[in-house]
Amino acid sequence: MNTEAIAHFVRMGGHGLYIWGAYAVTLALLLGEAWAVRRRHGRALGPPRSSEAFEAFESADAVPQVQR
Amino acid sequence: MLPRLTTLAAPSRFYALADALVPWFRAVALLFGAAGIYIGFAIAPTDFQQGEVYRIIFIHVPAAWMSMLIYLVLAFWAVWGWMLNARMASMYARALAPTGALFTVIALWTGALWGKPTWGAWWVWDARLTSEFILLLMYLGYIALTEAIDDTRRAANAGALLALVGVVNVPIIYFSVRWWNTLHQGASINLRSAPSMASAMLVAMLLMTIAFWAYSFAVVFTRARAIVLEQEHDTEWVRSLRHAGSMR
Repeated sequence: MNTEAIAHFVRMGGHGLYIWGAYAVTLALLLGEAWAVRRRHGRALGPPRSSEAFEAFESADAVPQVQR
Repeated sequence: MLPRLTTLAAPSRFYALADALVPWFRAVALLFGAAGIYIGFAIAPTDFQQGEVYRIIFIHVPAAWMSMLIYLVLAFWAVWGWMLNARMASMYARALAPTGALFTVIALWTGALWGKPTWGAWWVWDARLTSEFILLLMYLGYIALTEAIDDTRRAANAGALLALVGVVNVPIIYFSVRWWNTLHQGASINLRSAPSMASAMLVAMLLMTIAFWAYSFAVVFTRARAIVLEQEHDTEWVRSLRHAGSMR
């Protein structure tokens, strides 16, 4: 494939910016979401954070909660 | 061997099963996505009316379909969790919402980029566009409401009511191009007649739909696993799981 053919493909009949803009943003959003959920899962799986340890400490001497 | 229906109702068993399924959904999404893009750009012909710009259809229509389908699935699980007090069902609903909102944004964004060169406007307050925009507001309202209530059960129940009310909007989006005169074009595919598009175009669009569907499963299952860990953090199995993780 020569450069002329590639340039022709990228131009998309003058609508390249619209088409590639749609595809690029879609790809970025999907990859971003996939990355974000993996990070959220990794955090939830990690060792308890200090704020959670504090909550556990706080609730330890509180009145036992009625199981609903 | 098929897992029993109850497997997905117990958070701990869902957690393990989803772990095994997610890589498969990811592989399907990548494979079908690549095939859809290839057929959509290398094989599908130039449209005789719209030229090249119609190629946005390969992500626009699947994203719009997913935005509506995910909303219905969300509402189903939210109401199921509300009626039967099923924790896992409510967690599915909450895991679905951000992905549904994302596909709604993609449908609106790709639609704007398609609208400008074909209609001369990024946005019009046409019935199809407006009802899809309301869908985005429903998703955002659901997310905001469930995140704002600390008690998980109250959050799930309030969210279920909101999700249920919003269901009325989905058929409005779907049939808007038939019920009203819209600038948005009518459906190219319906159940009653042959699709009004070249077969390579149709194949590319269906491959992309499968890719988006598999992507949704992979991402929603991963988010649901995180939600399970977050909501069940003081159960024994999550404690030991996290302990084992921190030992590694």
